[in-house]
Amino acid sequence: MTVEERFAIAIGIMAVVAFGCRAGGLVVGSRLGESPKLRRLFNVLPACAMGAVLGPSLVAMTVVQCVALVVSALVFLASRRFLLALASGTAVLLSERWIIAILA
Amino acid sequence: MSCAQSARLGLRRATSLAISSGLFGILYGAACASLGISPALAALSCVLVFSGAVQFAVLGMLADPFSAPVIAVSSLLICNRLFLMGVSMADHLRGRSWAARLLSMPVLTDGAWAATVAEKAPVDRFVFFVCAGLWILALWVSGTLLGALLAGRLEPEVISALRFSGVLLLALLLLLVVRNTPMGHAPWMASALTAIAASQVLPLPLGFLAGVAAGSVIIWFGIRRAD
Repeated sequence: MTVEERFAIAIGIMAVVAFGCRAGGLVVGSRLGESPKLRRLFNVLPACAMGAVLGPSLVAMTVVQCVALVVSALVFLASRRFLLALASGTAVLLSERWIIAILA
Repeated sequence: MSCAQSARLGLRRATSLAISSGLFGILYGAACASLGISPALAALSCVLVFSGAVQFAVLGMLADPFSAPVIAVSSLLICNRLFLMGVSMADHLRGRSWAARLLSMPVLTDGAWAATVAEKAPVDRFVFFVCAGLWILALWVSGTLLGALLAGRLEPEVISALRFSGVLLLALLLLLVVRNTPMGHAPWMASALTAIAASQVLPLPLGFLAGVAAGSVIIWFGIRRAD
């Protein structure tokens, strides 16, 4: 089996699983009823999921990546401009070789 | 707000998120090309799956021994975030037919969810969400095609920077949601810290689940205290 044939099978599996998760969540969410407590819980849980994905990535950061993250967050908090914040962080990442030279 | 106005606002609000996804798509396209996958197939995977995390993860599972069940289980573990977003989106999409709601689900991603949840204007949330999601999808696919065509010309520093910009994107999405909703920082921080601790002793997907469980406990106590 070629890589493309394997990838085609993988696409089919991923597509079914991804749609199933999205649609399953929608069905469950639609049947939750009017409980404000449950509603609030499920409104915040996706952000917790993002935090849980981010956490282990942050532990493995290099110094430059850490600087990039801090710069991005500060730019976003100061300007509320998402793309500017991401561009600032990416610029720090791209200038890694110069930053390392300066720090050395 | 009319449908047209909601659509325009959805496109505008999602533009920065879409460009970010496009940049990440370049990396995905380049990764696909390095494995010998054609640009068309790479783009097709973006349209049908539209979940960067699982798409990247599966690229590492195409070598021998190829196992469809392993791919299915891994996809399920990575995609469970989409389930939580689906639950959260249900409230925003009420009032539409089941067919419309289900047909909109393929464009549900971190970016479209965050943009919709964070939006405070009185928009038609269904139209807003679908337009935001389609715009992010369009640039995700375009970025992938570009990356597949540029593969080999990208310097290692650029690839390394783009790879970490996925983490930056997720962190900024989190800040966007926290700033625009009354959730506060405690739940996601509890999730992140628990996931860090749990991933030291457990496989990463289980560490993730432990993190989400810890976050849900914090939210629940917060709700009870507020009552």
